[in-house]
Amino acid sequence: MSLPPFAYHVARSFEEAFELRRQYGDEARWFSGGTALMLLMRADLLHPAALIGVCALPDMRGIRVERDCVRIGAATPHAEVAASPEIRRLLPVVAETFNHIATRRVRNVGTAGGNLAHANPHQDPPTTLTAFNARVVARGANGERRIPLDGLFTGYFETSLQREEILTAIEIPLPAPRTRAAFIKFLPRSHDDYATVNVAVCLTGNAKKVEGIRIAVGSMGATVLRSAEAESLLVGRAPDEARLKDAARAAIQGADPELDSRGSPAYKMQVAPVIVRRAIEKALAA
Amino acid sequence: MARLIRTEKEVEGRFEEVWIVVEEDPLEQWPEGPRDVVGRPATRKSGPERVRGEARFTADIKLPGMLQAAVLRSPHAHARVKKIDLAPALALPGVRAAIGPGDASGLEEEVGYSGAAVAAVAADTFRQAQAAINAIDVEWEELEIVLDPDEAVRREQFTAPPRHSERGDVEKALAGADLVVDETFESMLQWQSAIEPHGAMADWHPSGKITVWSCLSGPYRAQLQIAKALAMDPSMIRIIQTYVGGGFGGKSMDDNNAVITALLAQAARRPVRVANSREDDFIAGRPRPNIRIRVRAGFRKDGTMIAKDLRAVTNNGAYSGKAPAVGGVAALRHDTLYVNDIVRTELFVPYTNQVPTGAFRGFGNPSSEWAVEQTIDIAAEKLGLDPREVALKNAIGPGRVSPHGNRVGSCELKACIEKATELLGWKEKRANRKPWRGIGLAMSAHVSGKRHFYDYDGSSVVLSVLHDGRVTLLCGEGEVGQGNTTILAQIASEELGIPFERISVSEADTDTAPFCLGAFASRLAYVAGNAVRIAAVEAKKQIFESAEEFMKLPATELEIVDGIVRRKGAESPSMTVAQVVSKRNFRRMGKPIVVTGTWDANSESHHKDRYGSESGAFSFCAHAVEVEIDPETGQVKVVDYAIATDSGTIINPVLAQGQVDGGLIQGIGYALTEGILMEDGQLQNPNFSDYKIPCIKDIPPMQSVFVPSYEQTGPFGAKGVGEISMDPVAAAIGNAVADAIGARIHTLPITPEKVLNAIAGRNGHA
Repeated sequence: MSLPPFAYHVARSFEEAFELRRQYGDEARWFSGGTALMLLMRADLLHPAALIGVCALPDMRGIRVERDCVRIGAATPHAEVAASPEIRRLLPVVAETFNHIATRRVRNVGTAGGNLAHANPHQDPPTTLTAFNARVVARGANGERRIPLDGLFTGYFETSLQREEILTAIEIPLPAPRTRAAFIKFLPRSHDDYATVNVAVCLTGNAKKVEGIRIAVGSMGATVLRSAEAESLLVGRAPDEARLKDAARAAIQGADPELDSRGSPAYKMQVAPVIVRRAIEKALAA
Repeated sequence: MARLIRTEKEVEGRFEEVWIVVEEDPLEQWPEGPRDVVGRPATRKSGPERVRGEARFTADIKLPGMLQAAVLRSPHAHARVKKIDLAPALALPGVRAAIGPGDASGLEEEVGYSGAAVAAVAADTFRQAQAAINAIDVEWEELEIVLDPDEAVRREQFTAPPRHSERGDVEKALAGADLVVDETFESMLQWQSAIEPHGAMADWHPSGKITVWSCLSGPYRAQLQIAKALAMDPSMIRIIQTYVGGGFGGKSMDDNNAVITALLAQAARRPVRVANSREDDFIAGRPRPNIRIRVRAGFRKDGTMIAKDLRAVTNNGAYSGKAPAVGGVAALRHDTLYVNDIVRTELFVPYTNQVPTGAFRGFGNPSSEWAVEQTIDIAAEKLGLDPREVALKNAIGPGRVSPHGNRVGSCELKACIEKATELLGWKEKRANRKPWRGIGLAMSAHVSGKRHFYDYDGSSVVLSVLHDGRVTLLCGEGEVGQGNTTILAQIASEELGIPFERISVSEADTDTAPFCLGAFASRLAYVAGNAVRIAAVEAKKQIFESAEEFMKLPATELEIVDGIVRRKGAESPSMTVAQVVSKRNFRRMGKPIVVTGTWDANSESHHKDRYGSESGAFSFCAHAVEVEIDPETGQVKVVDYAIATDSGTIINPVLAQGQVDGGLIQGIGYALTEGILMEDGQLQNPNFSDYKIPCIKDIPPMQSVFVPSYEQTGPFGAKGVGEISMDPVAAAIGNAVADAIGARIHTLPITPEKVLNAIAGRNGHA
């Protein structure tokens, strides 16, 4: 399938971007790396009249350590996140996650913000960033707001971003001292695949007592899963075998995996708790 | 020396027995031993341009005024076109031609699968062609869909009558066996996954002649097919095989891309190009058929197989191309591996409303090895024997004639088993078992060419020695990327004594190269290699005839070394080949050296009882593998892999190793990750994110050796190597998985989900 014709604008200022968006209304799409958008357009699923490039907007690219968080400009390519010395030092599991995305070519072009705005439930960064309690910065004509990742994803390829809002940055809070984290992308078929299930865990405490924990599970439904029950089963207690098992089971409550070439829903429901348990164990050992 | 052989010919379904005289191979074989060019890693002929991106593939060919085509495909698995109107398409801007049902074979009123071509349009741009396709109005009448091959067998929807052959009294032998294993296995639809999708460019000439450039294998077969579809004389269709970005059997002209392109060019009187998208390529391809195979095999206590009864149902899909032949190979070839002579085979090839199936590297072998080699492994397990010992017990040796008449010359199968297991550390691994680890062994036999088309299993080349001392080979076999051009040049170089760099091989062009069948059945090094040797021997004779005259020395005292004709073992007197040929040509009645080399293998077409040696020589291999299972997720990890291959003399070790590596990787995909998924007759995964071929990180450490043998009928002792390493991979991995989990997977691919269910089933909570 060849690409349908479309207009392409590179916005240099937010005013220009919002003005273009007003002109085109629903007929336009924000355009960042384009790795997902181009596939949808080639597959005849999207036919935007115009693409408005956001990468040239001010302060959209680059990684900065701020007072209480690490800020990733939305147009920063995955490869840059994976290679960033700050991220590797402060958030090694985030670097590891971004280093696992798709292929080298996609990592060089696809962007961190575009990935989240696309809201594909089979992606890896949403899972890890949810575990790290990250938030995104959304800028609209009337100003900026911050949306925690827990509240960003609303359905398959759906977010709580307003049509005219641009996702400008991702802010990952600096983890508390002695935070342990882990990410597991379960790829039973091929290294070059979407995850059958992916799990990220961020915890404080140790093998004797878990102080706090965030468990995020991806690819198991329309959005990243978090379970308050699973987390409360572990907080303040020793993560022994039985408790880990219970928590792992609780962590996939509400899961609704699809049947696809990676397996049946029943299979995914069977292996997801295993991967959750392993991710917690991996974090404890980190 | 002439030989009289009996053969049977099929004429419209009737079999006629004929005796024919066959001239024996007139060539003397070279003695075994190291050679100057053969057996060494000569640089691939087209290597530099491939690496530099200068190789011209079909999609790189652009002609002035060329049109782009789009194809309308059936959305229904079985339906009839009640009404079709091409007029709205023809009325659109840029549209130059449209063709529909009845215009060519392959564009039909009754379509048998979802994706079948119904109509096609050529326009100035691809988007215009697509828009025109969307404007074609079709009224469909949906028809009943049959997808289950067993149901199709019950309805007797056969491509050909079921084939049955029995050698010896199978039931009696099974009754006397110490153990009978009765198991049913199912293989899967595997897609060739060539990096380059199908495409073709056709140009129309005012004389009516049509030239087609395409990434196909077998240009002369394509010529016949297109000529038939267009009702033209074959020589009025010129086929030029371009560089091919991988074929693996999928570009052997069972599809109708090139036909549609030629037809549109004729209709538009303009050059037309068809270039498949990846999705088109999946939907309109010809994957390896899924075959259900039931094996009943009888064994003695010591593991010797003494009888085998096999029933194979090959899902042909909607239209018939090579699937019946694939099924035939799956039914019989593996009997070339075993000493057992008592076999019965039943083969059914029913039509279904699934994508039509065809040739893929390995042909029927991977499916039958998956079934038969697992059956033998089950017997070893039940008898408490080491599968390695059982394999050695059942393996054939040189000189063996299979129960179906396959005449084996050289054969180092037993050495292959010993070598592969030694490389894997089989004995140590079997002695020191680790939890959730398993080892498996499987073996295979493959042909070197196959008598499959027009009672012909040969090749011809035209070899010219030019006045500058260079040599050109006009060859119509074509290169699909496997390296045969390099191999043929090495053979010519060795035989002539002219440096490899000075030998060039033409592209496969039906206007210039002699008739050839093309690449299939691992045939080119062996069959075309012999034709090249014959041509080279004759050319060398002619060089010596002239040298005799010019150098005043008898031909028997001459040799050619490095392109220089000289007295044997002496530096002088000498003349370069260029000097000899120039002097010979540039004089009154000068006569260039242009010779034809023709060779046809000593093989037979299977007659109605399916008896005869399908090939002139057979290659063998054994694969040993270790896997590790994740018992909580069912994930299978191949941790170690060892391959030993007997392909006779290895003409080019780098290229041969490339074939072995590639076959293994495709085999791992076949075993673990690939497979076309069909639902209600619709292909569910026509893209590489859902149809998963292994990536390089999935490939285990691999040790591979060639076990030397010398095939007396092959050029410098060579046999085929292109396909064999694909054949036993799924069986070897299947055996290793069973060894690791204590349960057997019966259907491909071996997914983690199946493994987990098998583990649960073994523990009694399936």
